[in-house]
This record gives sequence, C-alpha cells and structure tokens, in this order.
Amino acid sequence: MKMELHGDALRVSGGQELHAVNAAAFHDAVKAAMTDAVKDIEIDFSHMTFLDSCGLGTLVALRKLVGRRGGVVRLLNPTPAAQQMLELTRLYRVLEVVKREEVAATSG
Amino acid sequence: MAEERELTPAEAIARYRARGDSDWPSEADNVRVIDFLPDAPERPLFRSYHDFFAIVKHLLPQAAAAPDRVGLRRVKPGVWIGLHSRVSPDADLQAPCWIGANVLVGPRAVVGPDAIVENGTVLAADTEIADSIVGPETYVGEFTEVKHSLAWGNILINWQSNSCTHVPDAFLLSPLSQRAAPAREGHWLGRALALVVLTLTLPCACYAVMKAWLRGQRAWRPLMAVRPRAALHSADVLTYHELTAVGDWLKRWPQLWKVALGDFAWVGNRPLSPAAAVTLTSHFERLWLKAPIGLFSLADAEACAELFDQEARVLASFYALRADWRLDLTILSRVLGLRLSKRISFDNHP
Repeated sequence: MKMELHGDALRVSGGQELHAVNAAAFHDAVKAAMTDAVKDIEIDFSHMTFLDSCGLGTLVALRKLVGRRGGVVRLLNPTPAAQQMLELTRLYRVLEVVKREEVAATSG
Repeated sequence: MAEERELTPAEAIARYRARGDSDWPSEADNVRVIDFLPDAPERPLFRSYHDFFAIVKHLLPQAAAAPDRVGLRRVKPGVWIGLHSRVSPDADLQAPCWIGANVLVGPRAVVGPDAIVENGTVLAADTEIADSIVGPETYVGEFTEVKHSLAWGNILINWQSNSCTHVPDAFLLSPLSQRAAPAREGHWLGRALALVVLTLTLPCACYAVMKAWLRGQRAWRPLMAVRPRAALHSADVLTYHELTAVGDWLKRWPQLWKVALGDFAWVGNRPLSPAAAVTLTSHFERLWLKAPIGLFSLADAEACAELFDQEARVLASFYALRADWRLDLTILSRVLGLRLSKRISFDNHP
C-alpha cells in the first residue's frame, strides 16, 4: 500500500482487499500517515476486488475522522464490484465516489 | 437427457440422430434453440442481463393475468402480491411491482417501480428495491438498496454494467436456504499434535501449578462454554479449564487436552459462556456459534485486547463464514508471530 500527499489530500493506492482481517491495520496506517495539513483522503479503488462490511466500516470511520476537519473521503475509480457494495449499502451517499473520466478531467 | 452444457444445433443433431430414431424430421432446421419465451421470440432471454430483465418486465402483466395463479391479488393498479405474503403497512409499493408468494416486506421498505420479488424472499426494514429482480428465498438486509440489479442469494448482478459480485456479509444479502458451514470435527492429525504439544509443554504447566500453590490459590479454574451449533438458552454446554497463576496464552494450556479430545479445534472461535452467548443479539453475531471452538481465534491473530468486544464479534462471524485451511494457517502463523514478537520486545526491555 502506497501513501503520498497531494496538496491537502492524502492519496492511498495499491489496496486490493479491504475486509475484517486487514481493515483495522488499514485504518491505523492511514491515520498514522495523516499530517495536520491533510484534509481529504483519496483512496484508489481501481484494484479493489474484495470489500466487506468491516472494510466499509473503516471507510466510514475515516470519513468521520476527516469530517472533523471539514474534509471528505474520496474513492477513485471503484471497480464494478466495489461500486456494487457501495450502492447496496447506500454508502455512495456518504463517501465521494469519483469515476475514471472525472478523475481524468480534474487531473488534466 | 442430462447434458453438462448446452449443445449447439449441430452437436444435438450429431448426438441424437445417430441413435437411429426413425421419426427424425427431415427439415434442415429441425433443431432450434429455444432461448426465448413463447410469446416473445424477438427478445432472446440470455443475450445479456439487460435483455433478461427487459423481457421479464415486459411479461409481468401477462404473468399476472395467467388463470392458473392461485391466490395472486392485485392490490392496486400494477401491484400484485402472491399467496401468504405479508407486507408491512408502512411499506411503499410502487407500480409496477410483483411480490411473489410467502414474501415478507418489512416496515418502510420501498418496492418498485419495476421490482420483481420472487417467492419466499424477506425484505427487511428500510430496504429499497427498484428496477430489479430479487430471486427466490433471498434475504435482503436492513437499509440496503438494490437498484438495476438481479439479486439471487448472495449474488448481486448489476444488469446495467454487467458487473457481478458475491456479497460476503449475510446480513446484507444472503440465500435463506443456505446454512452456515457446519462445525468441522477436529482432524486426527491436529488432535495428535495437541497431545505432543501437551507433553512437550508439561514443564510450563508444572511451573504454573507451582506458582499457584506458592500463592495459595487454585491452579486452574473451570469455565463453561456453549457448544457450537447449540441453540441459545439450551443446556448444551461443555466445561473447560484455564490456569490461574499465569497470563497470556499459557493459561490456555489445559485446553490442549480439549483439542486432543476433539472438543476444541486448533483454530476456531473462542469459547463463549452461556451468559455471553445470550447477548449475541443479531443473526450475524450468532454466527459466532457456527464455528468450532478454537484454541486460537482470528481475534487472537488480530491482537484484540478484548475477546468479546464488538470487533471480536465481527471477526468471529467473519471466521464462521469464511473459515478454510488457508485462513486457519494464516491465523496460526500470525498468532505465532505475535508470540515471538512479544518475546523479543520483552527480551529487549531494559
């Protein structure tokens, strides 16, 4: 898992699974990487093949964490499977989901 | 005639005509693929999920009008409910929608438009179903949203994107006919290994007994655990012991004997007292009792401070659903890793 700072956003990439076994470690790693300057968390979901309720719970916990700073959790290019889980649980209403074309537009 | 896969027309002719049927038709297209419903030959059923949903939706009024449907009632224009189905008065049914027989629709659920809920399905409170088919005997959990999808057991297919996923959490979406994996009997190799470890670590136990004796306390204490798969409030419990004068995992030493007897497994969910078991309130939490009792658990591998807190409950349910030998090996290796890292940090302590 790779973490780097992009302005006031912490970008997390390289994760392929987020579930009960690794969710706590993921949460701790992201929290440890957050500096005072970090407002938003951007997580690359383009390789996310397995996401369960614990993983989703971690995303909500991170959302609460950055919510106190006025920030958001942004999920970039979610895989169709991850997108389905976000829709099934209605979490797309709480977390910001950015699709590929939108990412290209903002970075270009 | 059972076939492993669907035959092409040419394969079907080659296979079945060779049997020498005398009344085989002579036309060139005497074998046809029936991949459409009789009334709609122009709409193939299996070209895509999108087409499948479209044809089912198209045939909804005709299916409702069929004279052989017993007990089906039209509660308002475009809304049909089958026999023995119960719909909460707070639920919102939006036409067109079809609710099959023996379906439960919970409070504040919104079903429709363009929703088909098959027989024996349960829609929990606050669900939203639209532009979707929910398959037979499927549980759709509270606050879930199924849109533009085919939900069948724990399989969720989005007919717009052709994406398919298996939902891992039974409380979100699951087949009602599925039972959790049965508790596995302890393998003889694991039981023999427990006897070996028990013998090799006997000096450690002697140390614990001596320590307790010097302190003037009992060396071990009995504890009760609900047997896996036992119904809550039942008296199906077993007794196990732990050492009192030592901490950490050495106190579990007597439980190696339970592993040798086959009452415990090396890896499983930690034993639950009857009092603790009745506090498991939801179906998801009660999955704890679907896995064998283990000497080590996923919560151990995750170094959970409390073995009965919310995190441990989630891990126990996860283990009950996903247990296999690979997960067991991962847990054992992580437990061993934690044990060694603790020893190293203790040894390095000034």
